[in-house]
Amino acid sequence: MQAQGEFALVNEKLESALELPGQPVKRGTMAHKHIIYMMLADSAAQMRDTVSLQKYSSLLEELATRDGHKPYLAVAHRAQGIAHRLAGEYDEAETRLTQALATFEELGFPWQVGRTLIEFAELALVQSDHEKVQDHFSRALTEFESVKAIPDIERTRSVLESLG
Amino acid sequence: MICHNCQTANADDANFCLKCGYRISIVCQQCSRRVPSHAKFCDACGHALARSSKEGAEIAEHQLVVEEQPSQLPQTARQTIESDEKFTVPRADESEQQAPAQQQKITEQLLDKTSQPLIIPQSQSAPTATVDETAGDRSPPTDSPLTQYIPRGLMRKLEAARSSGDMVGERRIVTMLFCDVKGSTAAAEQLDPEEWSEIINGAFEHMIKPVYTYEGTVARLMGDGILAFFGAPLAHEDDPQRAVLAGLDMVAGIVPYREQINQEWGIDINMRVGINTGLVVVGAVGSDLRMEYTALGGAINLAARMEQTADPGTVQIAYDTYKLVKPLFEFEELGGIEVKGMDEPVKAYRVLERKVAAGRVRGIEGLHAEMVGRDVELQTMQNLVTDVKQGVGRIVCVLGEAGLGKSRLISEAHHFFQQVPGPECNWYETTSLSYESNQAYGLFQRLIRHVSGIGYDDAPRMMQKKLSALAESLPDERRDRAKQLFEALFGLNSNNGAQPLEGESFKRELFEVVYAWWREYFSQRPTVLVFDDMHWADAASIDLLRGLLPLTSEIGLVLICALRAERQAPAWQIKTIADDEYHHRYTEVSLRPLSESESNELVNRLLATPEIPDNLRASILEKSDGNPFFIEEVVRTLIENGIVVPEERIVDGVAQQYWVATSDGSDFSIPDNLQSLLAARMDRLEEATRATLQLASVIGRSFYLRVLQAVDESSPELDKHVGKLVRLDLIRESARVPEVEYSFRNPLTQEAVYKTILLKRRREFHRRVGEAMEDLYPERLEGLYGLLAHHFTLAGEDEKAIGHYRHAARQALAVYAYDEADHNLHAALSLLEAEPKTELHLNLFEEIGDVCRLVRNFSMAITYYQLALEVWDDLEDKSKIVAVRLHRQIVEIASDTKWSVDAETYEQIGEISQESQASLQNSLRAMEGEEPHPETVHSLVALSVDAWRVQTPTDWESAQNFAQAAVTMAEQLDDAVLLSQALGALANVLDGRSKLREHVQIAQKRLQVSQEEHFEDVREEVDALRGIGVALMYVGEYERALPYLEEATTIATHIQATDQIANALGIQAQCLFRMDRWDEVLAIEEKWRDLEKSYSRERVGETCFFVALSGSVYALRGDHEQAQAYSKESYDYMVSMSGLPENWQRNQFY
Repeated sequence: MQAQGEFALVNEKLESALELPGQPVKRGTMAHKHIIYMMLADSAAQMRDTVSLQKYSSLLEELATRDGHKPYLAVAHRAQGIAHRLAGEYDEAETRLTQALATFEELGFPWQVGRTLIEFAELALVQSDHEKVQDHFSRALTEFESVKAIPDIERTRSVLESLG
Repeated sequence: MICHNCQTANADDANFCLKCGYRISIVCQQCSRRVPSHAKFCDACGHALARSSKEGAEIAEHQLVVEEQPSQLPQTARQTIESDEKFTVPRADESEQQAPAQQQKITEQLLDKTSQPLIIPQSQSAPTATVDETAGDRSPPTDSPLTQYIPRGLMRKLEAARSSGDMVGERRIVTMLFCDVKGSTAAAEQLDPEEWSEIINGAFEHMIKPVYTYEGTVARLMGDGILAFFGAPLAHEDDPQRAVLAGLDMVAGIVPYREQINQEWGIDINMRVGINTGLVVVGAVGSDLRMEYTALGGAINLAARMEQTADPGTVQIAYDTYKLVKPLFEFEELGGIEVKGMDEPVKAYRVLERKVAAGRVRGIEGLHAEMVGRDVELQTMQNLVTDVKQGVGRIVCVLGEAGLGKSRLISEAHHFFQQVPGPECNWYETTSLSYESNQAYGLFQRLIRHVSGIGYDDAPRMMQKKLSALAESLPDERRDRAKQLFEALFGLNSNNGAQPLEGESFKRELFEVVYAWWREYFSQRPTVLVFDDMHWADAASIDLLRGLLPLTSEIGLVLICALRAERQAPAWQIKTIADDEYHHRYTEVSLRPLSESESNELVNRLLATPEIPDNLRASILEKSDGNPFFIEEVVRTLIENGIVVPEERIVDGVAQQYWVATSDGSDFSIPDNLQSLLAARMDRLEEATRATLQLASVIGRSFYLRVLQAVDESSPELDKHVGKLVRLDLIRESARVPEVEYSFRNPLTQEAVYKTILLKRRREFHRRVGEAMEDLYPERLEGLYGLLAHHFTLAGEDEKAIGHYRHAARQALAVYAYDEADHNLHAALSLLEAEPKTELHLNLFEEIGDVCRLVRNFSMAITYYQLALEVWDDLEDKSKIVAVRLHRQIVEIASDTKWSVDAETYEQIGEISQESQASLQNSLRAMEGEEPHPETVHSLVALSVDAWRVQTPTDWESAQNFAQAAVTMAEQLDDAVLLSQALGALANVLDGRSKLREHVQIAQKRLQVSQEEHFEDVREEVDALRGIGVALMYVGEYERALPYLEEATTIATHIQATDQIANALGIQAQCLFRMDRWDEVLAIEEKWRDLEKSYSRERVGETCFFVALSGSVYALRGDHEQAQAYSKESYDYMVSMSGLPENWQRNQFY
């Protein structure tokens, strides 16, 4: 659902699942809260749902920090960065996004890097730093192209074209 | 000195046979030389020897003892005969059952060689020229009275059949004929015994002679009647037909004698015949050609009942015979006849007469299939018959074993022939009959009968008239001679005053006349002469036909000879001579068995729209082995047994007939007529070769030569017998490596041969085979457990069989052959007495429960575990650990099924599981303080899993405590595998409690344990690798997780643990997906799909991971169509596993 962009549905399903007793999906395969918070935070970011963003990114950050879960911590940073941007707190937003980008680059996750660069571009856009906007979108495009993420490529190219 | 009576070797100076008491030597009165008792002249001085009445009396006395006391069989012979019910020859009615003393006396007189011998009248129907030959074909009248009636050829066969001296019994399909003199009791009371014996002797002649004419055997003389068997000791494929013909000859033959007796004595006697076909157990004893039979009750009683209820002067047959001869005779249906011991009345039929134009015995009434797989052969035949319309002569041999479709091919060619435009042509068909192969010129007699329209009921005068008309086609100077010859062929006394014909001159003149007749008669218009079943043609006819072959170059004559590839048959000469000397005119059409697809096609065509299960279809194809006749017979049997039934359905408003299977039915029996056909082949073998074939049939369709050598007592000559069987194409060499192996050419042959063996001997043979295999292959037993279990079961060695079945089941489980495992365990269970229940019952119940669990039949698994617990409760000497293990299994099922069965099923399982969980906890508490035990560890693990997977709400605390206790006990036991399993349980709890770093630590410890030097459980090692991979994945250390998962995949692939391969691949895919390495996700999905192709989806598992992940990749790449397809696949899978979403347990979001 998330991959298909059904973020609202993801939230609806996952939030109700959080209330259900028991953890395992099947023997040896748990559905930890980490992953549920990660997906909820990510979906909230896509929907620019500031309340959910705040709520789940904090919960995710707490668990990811406790267990040293770098990818989820990076997701939490990115969600927090988006929340700060939406709140007009651009410095905090940049700090969080920088932390996220550094982790994703270190881990070598190109699509996540691309998605974080898009958020950087959005931040630069609200700050009217067109050079950075252009740069972040271009770099994001490269990352998306490396994994053949067509919808992201098309969206990014479209934005770049509109920017001239 | 060899006893002339029983062939036993005696001392040279013996006067009497040590075995049968027969006088075996006499002293020449002229020179005192000791000569065999049957000698007519002394071989030293040439003195004519006269046999004293005393000697005869000695012989008679012995025979009388045998006849009077049939139950006093030699012990060995009696032991070999088994039956459900010993047969007592029934009498016609109650009054006759009290056999008058005089009847007994008559029997004695009949058997006494000192009494008036039975008179053999000269055959009134034999042609002059063949009288000598016929007479010469009779056995010398110096042996028992019965032998006087036996044609010499049959005598040779019978002697060969009993040549081994003490023939053992056999199970056979036999047609039984009862015949008695009706009215004899009253008549006997009116007459002096001597007068009556004279009358009854004459009647016996009319009863016995037809039996031997059709190569049956007189099984027993019964005062005023006989019991004859057709099918034992010599079988023919048409025994039922022979029996009916013999019956008709009996009632016809008695007519003039009846008139004679009426005139001379003023009494009326008549004869009645009853016939039935069925399974009998035949045992042969005695020292002459008389044989004693013990028969299964049902079939033979029914034959007797047919006779008892037959009207005087008629032949009455039961349904089982009727169905086999229906197309050959005219019948009157008599309705149902009550038979003691049978619930339903038995259908009976009166045989009226032989049909002039007999129908096909083969084929299925009401069903017709287009010919299959013979396109090339049919085209050849069509070309040939087209040529004849243009006056081109040919010789054609259609070769093929029984049932391959020779007659059908010719029939199709005939049909085509009738459609081809051109001049008017003749087409005459003559079929040789198996029981007429000793009748000189029988083939030509039938041809003349056909061409000139002579019926079987035609009076002599009418026959002469028709033969005269036939001779008209010849030039004037030949007509009289031709007429005389033709009449001689039909046993008619010519009254034209010509010189009688004898010996060579008869042959020469017959040849000249027939040659001239053919040339004149068939040159008038092109002619096709078909000689079907020519392998049965008599030698004299073949000799004559050889001389007629040149005519194919002179006139438009096509000879089509259909025969089996039997090189010893006289007809084979026609094939070789035609090929050698008339090659330019010769065509050979060899029919081969149908391929599997052709056989399948034939089944489809026979049953226009068959809806039969694959295993039933496979069974039909396997048994019939490409033989169209066999396929038809097998299908016919299925229909007759109600295994395949017609069903009418309305399709598009039109009624259509479908054939549907009512049951699996794949173990149906060989049809009776096939059994007879195959038994007939078998009876042509020498006794020792036949015995070897029987032993081979016990081993199985395929058999190793070494095993046969080990069990065949005639091993020194075994190679000779095996070679003979190969040459006769009954068996074939199927492998040389790793050792010589043979297999039966046809599975039905193996079945037919096997069915002839008495049950007791089968048991003995199976025991020998089983023991031989154990001795010969001690290193390879694991591959033979199933076979050994089969042999020991049939040997009646249940204990051994059960052991082998359990081994076979374990072996089947190792290769995931769950059905076979289940089958083997149930087979073992069936060998146990129902009560009292023993520990073996408990073990088998538990093992069956294990198999049920593996095939996800959880309810049944629990049922079997509960049965095992019930047995455990009643055992006197019992171990608590067993009960703990059984309860633990039930608890584990509840854990396994939590998310994989529908809610209703889970509720049922859950209730039982709760009881077991409580029992298990109680048991463990009771065992506190006792020595650690591996089962306790397993149980603690099970309780741990139960606490977090089954209990609601989840009891993580208990789960962790149980797991920790399991770890502690496993450490005490110093058992690495157990410790690894306990650590795995603990890791799962920590995982579930989201203690992800502790999870990683325990998973690492587990890996360490599993990689110790002497760790022997590879699956557990794979699980440990997978476990660390999962633990690292959960903390986001995907890069570190991948090598462990790859190693797990490699090892799991090495041991072909498909579930573990799929699981490790699934976790790798999850890691790769989160690392944005999407191409690799799809590549791994490919590997999973390959696994699915090789195994089943259920066995491979992990479907949701792959379908969801790949679907996500396609969605992220914008391929929404593909993403939707994966989404649908995922949904369908979930529905197939757990029903509709409302029934899913939880976590459907995943």
